[in-house]
Amino acid sequence: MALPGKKHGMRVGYLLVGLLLLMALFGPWLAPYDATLVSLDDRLLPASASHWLGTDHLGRDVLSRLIVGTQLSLGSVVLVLALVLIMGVVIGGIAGIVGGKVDMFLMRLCDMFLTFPTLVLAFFLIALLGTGLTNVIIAIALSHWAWYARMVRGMVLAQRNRDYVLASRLAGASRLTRLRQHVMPNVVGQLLVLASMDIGHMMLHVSGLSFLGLGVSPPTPEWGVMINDAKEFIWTQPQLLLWPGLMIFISVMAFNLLGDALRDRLDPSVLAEIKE
Amino acid sequence: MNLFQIRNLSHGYTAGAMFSKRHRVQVLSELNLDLPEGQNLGLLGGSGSGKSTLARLLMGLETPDQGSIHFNGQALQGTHPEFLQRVQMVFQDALSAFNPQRSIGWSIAEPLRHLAGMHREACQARVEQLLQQVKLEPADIDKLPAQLSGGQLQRAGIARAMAVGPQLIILDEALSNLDRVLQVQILDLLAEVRRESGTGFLLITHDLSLVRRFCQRVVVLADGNLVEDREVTPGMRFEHPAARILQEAVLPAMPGARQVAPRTASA
Repeated sequence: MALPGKKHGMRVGYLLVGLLLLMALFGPWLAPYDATLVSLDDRLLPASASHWLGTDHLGRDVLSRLIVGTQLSLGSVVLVLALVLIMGVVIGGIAGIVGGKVDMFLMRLCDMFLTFPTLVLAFFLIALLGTGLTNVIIAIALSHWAWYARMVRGMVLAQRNRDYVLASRLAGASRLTRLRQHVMPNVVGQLLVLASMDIGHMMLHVSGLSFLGLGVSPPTPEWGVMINDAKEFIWTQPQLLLWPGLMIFISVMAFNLLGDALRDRLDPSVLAEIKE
Repeated sequence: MNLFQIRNLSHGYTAGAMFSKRHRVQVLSELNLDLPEGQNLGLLGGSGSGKSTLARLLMGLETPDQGSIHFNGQALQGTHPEFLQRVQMVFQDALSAFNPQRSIGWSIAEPLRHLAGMHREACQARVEQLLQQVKLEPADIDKLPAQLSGGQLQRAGIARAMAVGPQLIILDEALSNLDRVLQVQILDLLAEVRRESGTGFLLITHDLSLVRRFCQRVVVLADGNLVEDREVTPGMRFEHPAARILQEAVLPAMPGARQVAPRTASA
């Protein structure tokens, strides 16, 4: 029997991710004000009926900036994740499937990337590539792919020796068919669960680098940038830090809940319980 | 006509962890066996006697170190489609023998698609027929493996092995995870299959009572070789010590009352 609390969490996760997606897709139309409109007369206003979450140090509407910023904050994370997954599946998959010297070479390459803490590696890559959102995305993807490649390789090896892959071989399925119908779907299923749990982590990375001024540059609305802007007013206007922080917190939680739900969905033992 | 002809078969594996010395473990040595068509043969053996290794070799999943395996007079070479149409196998652990993401019907139809080249409708009809034959419900066709019980899944595994109508089905400890009632039910089912289609079975097990019920002939594997090879008769008795152990390990059909010594005053 599925626990009621668990199902609740699942629904909250879907709901929050749905809301975030709406904000990301239709942000500019949903926002009450222009997110980059500077109005020095209205700077640092408290929350009111006209500015629900108040204004920042340049008189920009905080709510609008939060809504418009969703696209960049979430979009960059989705891009990072897509890059990491593609690299991980391709490199890890080749290592696991081909094996031998190719496996050896690719895994040593992974080890090289894994020896550095991800943040240090990301800094190093940004130093090489230069600042800017595109480079931050590339840097974070490059500093994370090795984890995924290793995991994919392990999963491929584990799946390959499963009885049902053997059974498929005895049913006359070719190597390629077995990979396509048995190994990869099960690997990708597990991987998506891990990835959805990792979205929060990646989001903190992107926002963190933007906070340090390496990613998105200031006038553009993005949550990390907003936190960076607000840090000078931490003693007088702490809510300016709170709102973007809260958005990051909510997104991380939403994706973790979604990951939980996905895992339950794909775990065959739980699966039977849900369907019954 | 012998389906399989095994001559001087030897096989082993290299064992050893990272820091220990690698050494060779000999599993089968100089084994000879003839497997006639349409016969139910029981292959008995204790744990680690090489039963499953023999099954893997027979299925062409591994190549023997030495010796030869001939199938229908031809040397066995890997898993060819023509070969797989005639010999199929049922696995021990039914749950792990089915892809958790695919329906039972899809999995049972796998050999039909790859080996028989059947189309969708023909597959569907054949799968329904197979399910009926192994006494599963028609509704089970769309269920996922996790939604069936162990006994039901093992029947589905048998249905998959029967799909292309092979001459021989190897049951590699396929009944070991089931309880007595299910074992007997499935054996009776298989006996029916044999009567109808002439399919022979190689029953790999460590349980002599299953062999007695189902097989015409029994061989006992111990220390990599066959130590017994005889017809199954009601009064059959093994002579080799390893085979005697297996014979004596069989539980009585009806547990008798245990003789308990009366307790003395302070135990």
